[in-house]
Amino acid sequence: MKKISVRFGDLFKARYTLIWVLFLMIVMFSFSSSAFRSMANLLGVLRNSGIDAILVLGLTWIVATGGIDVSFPDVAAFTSMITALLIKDGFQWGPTILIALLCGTSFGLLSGFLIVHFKFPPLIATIGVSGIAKAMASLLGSGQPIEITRSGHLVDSLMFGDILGFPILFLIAIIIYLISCYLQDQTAIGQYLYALGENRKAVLEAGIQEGKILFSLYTFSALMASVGGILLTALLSSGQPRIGFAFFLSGLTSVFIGAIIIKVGKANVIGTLIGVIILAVLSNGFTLLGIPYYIELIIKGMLLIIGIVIIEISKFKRRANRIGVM
Amino acid sequence: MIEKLRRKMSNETIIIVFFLFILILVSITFTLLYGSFLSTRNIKLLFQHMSVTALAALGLTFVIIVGHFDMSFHMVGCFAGMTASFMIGEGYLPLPSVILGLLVGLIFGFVNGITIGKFNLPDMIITIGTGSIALGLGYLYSGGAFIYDNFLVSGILKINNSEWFGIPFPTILMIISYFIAYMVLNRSKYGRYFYATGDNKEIAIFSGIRVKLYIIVAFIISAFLSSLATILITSAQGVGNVKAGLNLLMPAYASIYIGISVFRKPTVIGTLFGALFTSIMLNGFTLMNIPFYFQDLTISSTMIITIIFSKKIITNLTTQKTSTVQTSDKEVAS
Amino acid sequence: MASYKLQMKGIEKVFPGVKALDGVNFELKTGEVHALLGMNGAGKSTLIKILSGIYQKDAGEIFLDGKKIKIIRPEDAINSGIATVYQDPQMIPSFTGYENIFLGFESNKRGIFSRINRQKLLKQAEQLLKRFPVDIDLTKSVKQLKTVEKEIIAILKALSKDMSILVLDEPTSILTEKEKNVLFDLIKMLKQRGISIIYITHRLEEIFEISDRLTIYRDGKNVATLEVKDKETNSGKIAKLIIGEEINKFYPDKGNDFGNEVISVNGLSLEGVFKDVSFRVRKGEILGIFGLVGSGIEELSKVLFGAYPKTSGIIKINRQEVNFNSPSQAISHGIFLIPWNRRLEGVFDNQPIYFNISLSNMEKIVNLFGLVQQHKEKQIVKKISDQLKITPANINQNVSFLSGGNQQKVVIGKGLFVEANTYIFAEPTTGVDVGAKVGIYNLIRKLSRHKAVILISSDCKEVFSMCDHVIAMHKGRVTMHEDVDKVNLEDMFLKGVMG
Repeated sequence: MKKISVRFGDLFKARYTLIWVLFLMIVMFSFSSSAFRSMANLLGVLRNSGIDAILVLGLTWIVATGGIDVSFPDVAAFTSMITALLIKDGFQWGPTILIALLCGTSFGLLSGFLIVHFKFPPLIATIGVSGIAKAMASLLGSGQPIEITRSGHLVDSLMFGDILGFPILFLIAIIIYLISCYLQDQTAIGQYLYALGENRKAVLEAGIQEGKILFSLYTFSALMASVGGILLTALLSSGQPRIGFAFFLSGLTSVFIGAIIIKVGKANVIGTLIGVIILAVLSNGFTLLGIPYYIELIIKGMLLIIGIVIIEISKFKRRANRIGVM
Repeated sequence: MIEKLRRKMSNETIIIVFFLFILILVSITFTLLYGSFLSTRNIKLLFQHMSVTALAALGLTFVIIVGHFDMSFHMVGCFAGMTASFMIGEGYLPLPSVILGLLVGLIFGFVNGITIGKFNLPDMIITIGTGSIALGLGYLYSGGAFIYDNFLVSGILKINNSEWFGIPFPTILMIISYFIAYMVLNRSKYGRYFYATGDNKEIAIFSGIRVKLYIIVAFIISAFLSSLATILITSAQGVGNVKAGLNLLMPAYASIYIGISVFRKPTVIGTLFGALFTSIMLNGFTLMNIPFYFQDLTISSTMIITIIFSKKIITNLTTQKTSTVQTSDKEVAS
Repeated sequence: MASYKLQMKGIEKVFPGVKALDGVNFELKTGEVHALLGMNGAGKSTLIKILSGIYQKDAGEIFLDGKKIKIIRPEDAINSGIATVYQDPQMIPSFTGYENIFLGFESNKRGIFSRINRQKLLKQAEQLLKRFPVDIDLTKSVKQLKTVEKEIIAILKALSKDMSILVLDEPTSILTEKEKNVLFDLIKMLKQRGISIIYITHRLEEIFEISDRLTIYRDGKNVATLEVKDKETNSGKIAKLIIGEEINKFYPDKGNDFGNEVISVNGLSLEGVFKDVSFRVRKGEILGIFGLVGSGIEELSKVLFGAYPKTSGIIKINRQEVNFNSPSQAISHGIFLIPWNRRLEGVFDNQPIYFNISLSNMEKIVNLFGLVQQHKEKQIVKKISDQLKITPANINQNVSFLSGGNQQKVVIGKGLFVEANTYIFAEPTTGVDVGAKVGIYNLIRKLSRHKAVILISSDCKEVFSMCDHVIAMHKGRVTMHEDVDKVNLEDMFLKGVMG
């Protein structure tokens, strides 16, 4: 296992500050709202964190390579709608999941193709793909959500049940994250994606196939977004064609907050998981305190900016003084 | 005969001609299918819609030219629009309300510019952050509710409805803005500085250009024009709606990238063309009663297809590659 | 005849506007350390890049162990057992030493989903390292390592692939004295294991320390191959061979009418790069600064132009102290730099000639509103273009279509357009063919009649022949500071090369 080494002063502080912040938040909210500290609520937060975390897993690695994916909310929406549509039409969950995953992931294939083969800037490619996904999501329901009647006992227990007190949904996310952690830290692709984010030239010189890696990452991001979409439909018993901007913002901010933790300025899965929890607690606390969602927008926007500023300051400090013969 | 023509024209001209051809083809198709396409009323509608998109896209063009991305302009516009709406709701005259709206937009543009231009923070992330803050602030005025008060009496609607020489006022604004932008970007020294900054920042610095300044100005222009566009939307809708500007994001990028596909680099004319292209398609689709959610599909697909298409033409030009690993060597022959 | 490990025969390479290699040969014996020498532009770096697959040769053959091989990409070179370590080896700064060594080769299958066994890699790396006289903590991230340690990591990277030929491109230019010795011990050990080493350098004293033979190149051709152990081989002789017998007669006459002091510099330092540089330049005078890569001359030129901030020192223009920290401010003080590598810092490829030439002084051709007066611009640019004899003469042509020499002229034209008082030329004729060189030299001299000119170059002949007063720099310090007529070319060369 890689050694987690502690580096510069303020980054050390920042990393642990965040854990303190989370702790403080939980304490503050617990005091301010009795609803917050109820077991049901806390479980709900963990449950939502589970889905959120799955949605931004792929994004985490894409950000680590220096790219971006703005399409994940819309791919999730699309998948959510397809799932609902198929279930409503009488399909079983098994084939539904398969079809939904296939369809959703194909958006990732498209993004990957545009970026790798046609050299689109990732932002533009994913903006384009998100437009298509969003439109198709709306198309499926003529602009409206698709309701499904009770989805069956198995699904319900998966979505709402818990094991040892932890929501199953959250545990599923943890499992996926543990597997991803393994991929990130123990396999070549995990190594190479960070290498790409730091020094593309060195990667190319080593003969590593950058194209294959990027293609896989964007496809994977769409896959995860699809999984999230399916879970959303199961949880809400309806397909949602519109996933708001706030969602996108939370996801991105989670990744950047998470990048401050653990891996010193680089996006990583454990960090994202913690970031997701922090933001879920924040959202939940705010909702229960009656703080309107637009205040959340402002706070999250500020968090995102603070996160990126901390990361950039740490990079700046770390830049070894390369000029120097004397 | 066609071969002769093909050989005479450069690849660049072929692309331009091709796109013009497509545009004319599309227009003719729409006219044939829907006689009302060419009616004065529809044309006015088309241009009113196009003016708004074109203004937002124009501002964004400056940012793209200096080599950056702006993900905040549409949200900053929303905030600007709501600021103006709020003022009108409180009874102020349209002019000061609009000016205040534009002012807050300018401030956000300035913040973007400083953080990105001076402190070199990553543009995408910063603008997502500032945009979110702007959008959130926009909600503060009325908790997200529509603002109606005084709209009819204040005269704010005149901005959208008045006409100068038979041309809708928003279109006049578009024409003026594009004219000024053209003069600046294509005919003035500032334009050269903008392009140089985006082309190669280091060479620009070594040429004595104050690149930080131009990046800041680009972001300010983007926020300003987007604020103007959203205020126009507000005037057209006759109500203060915090989400008014949100739909500007995709068409703006599409317009610019269609322009880039045609002209090989971001340009005023290219963006105008792209805005015209997307607006005509959207207008035609509205006539066909195609539901709103197809809008994004159309715009996104068009953008992607045009970029692919133009890249395919470019890769047909011979390029010499010495190796798959292009190291930028300090000494070419040493 | 002992068979050679590597033979390169009749290698030719042409770049736009210049023939870098004109039928050169190279032979490497098994287990020897063979140095390549020559000035910038001589062709040695190009030869090496062809060997390592970065460039493709236009003509010639390469034989490995007597068999002809084809090298088109870096992978081909690696597969043939040839590993190259460049001056600034590309690393992933936050990765550890062993991760960098095995980047891309973590497992035998090389699949992107294959498992990385870190313990195993670390052990393998330590095994590699054990054989050598250095002690590096391979678990530290590379950015925390000293420069020589980074170089050794780069070398280990090459060795991990079981190479039989190791190419080192100026390995010591970024090392201190002590670090250099560490590297040399490593090289001696490699030699003992039968690995053949090609070693590019400028530093003559190192040749005697470490190499068996040396080959000198000049102007893209072989000059000589010498045995180091040979009694005849000494610095003086080598210097002469590198420089060439005659000073070509295409340099213009020196200046003789010097006016007032235009620029003076006192105690100029950039921390960690150069220290205590002082000089003054008068109108009509050309000051030459000669030094190699790593001597600090490139950074000096940038500090003089405001692109890097100085740590200390005073710069005076017309005897008034000035302070500037950006090129735009430097320009306003009448200083202009014709930059180091025209491609990186000089011209915009995708823009026409007139765009590039007028860019640094647009005030001259704009009206009240900042609008360009195109007629006036074209007029002035055309005049400059004719003066410089830029071909093709169409000033609307994109710069990318011009030859190297003409591109350089465009950069000079940019400077002329600015009408500065102090011109700093940094490596003005790199990659420029002989014909264009003459034109540029004449231009520089003509320019100097009314301005102060500083010519910074790693081509000692150029500095010696063009300048009225010369400074040599070695590892950040000024090692020579004389009027040119009091100086001998070989001495100047050695002062820059050895200090």
